[in-house]
Amino acid sequence: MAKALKVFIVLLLVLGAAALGLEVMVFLKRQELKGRTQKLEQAVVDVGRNLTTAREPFIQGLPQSPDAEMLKVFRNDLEPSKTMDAPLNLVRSLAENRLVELNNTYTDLKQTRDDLATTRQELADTRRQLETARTEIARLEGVVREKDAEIAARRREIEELNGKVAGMEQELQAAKDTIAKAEEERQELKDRIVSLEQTLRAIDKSLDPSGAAQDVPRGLSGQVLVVYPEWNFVILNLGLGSKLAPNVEMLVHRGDDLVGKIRVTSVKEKIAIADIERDFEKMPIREGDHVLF
Amino acid sequence: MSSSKPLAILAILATLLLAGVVTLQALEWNFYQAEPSVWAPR
Repeated sequence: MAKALKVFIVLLLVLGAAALGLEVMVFLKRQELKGRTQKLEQAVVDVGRNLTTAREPFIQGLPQSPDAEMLKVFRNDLEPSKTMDAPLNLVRSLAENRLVELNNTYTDLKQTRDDLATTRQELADTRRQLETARTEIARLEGVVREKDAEIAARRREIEELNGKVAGMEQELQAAKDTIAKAEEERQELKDRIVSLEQTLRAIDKSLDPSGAAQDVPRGLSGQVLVVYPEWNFVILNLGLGSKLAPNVEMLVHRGDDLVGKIRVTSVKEKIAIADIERDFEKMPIREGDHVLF
Repeated sequence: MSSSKPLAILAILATLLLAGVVTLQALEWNFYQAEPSVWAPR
């Protein structure tokens, strides 16, 4: 009995020594455990606050926030939902939501950067086109200035030509006046000629009462068909168809030689009878001699 | 009598060791209970 008690006491002593050693080790770790736990709690609270705090102007705030007191509850058998799991799950959910928002933001940012790159490229193209257009505008302005100067020179020439035209119009008007005066003088002369012709015809009528010679065409020529010297007349091949009229004196020639003169006494359809003017007879008239009025 | 004296000494020593363990645990309990505590408010 005493021996068993001795073994029990020795065993108790050994276990007590081991428990004391282990307890000392745990006791020395107490600050580390508590500090680590509290820092983790504070970090979770800070992370939750940062996840729910608004960042103007783009990040909006969230109403949820982890409960710092519940983080201290490791186990609650009566209400398991009121343990540190709830705020930790909330922080995890908030972090996932913010991560989704961040991912969407990165996606939008990438799209925006791509659009910006495209826009910058278009802007560079537009600037080059603008520069080209400005160069073209400058060139066209130079052309316009040259054309303006040319137009001004042309206008001056037109003004000079207008002045010349005005002078020429005045000269033309003076010439027209001169022509009008000349026309009046010509008309007066023409009237005078008509008057003189009327006077001449009146004189011819007075000299030739029959007035038949007036209608005979000048230069009328014919030929002697038959000669009757004993009866002092000849027959001509001219008649009313040749507009021959009585009392007309005609010259008789043979080639270039003048033969004499005859006076028409009677005119038929195709022939005429004329007396021989003996006073003007240079040589005897023969058949075939030519007559001329 | 001579055989029971070392046994008694061992018993007393084991008792002192257990008392040390209990004391250290009490101190540790008190440390964890002190504010700010890591445990839920009771």
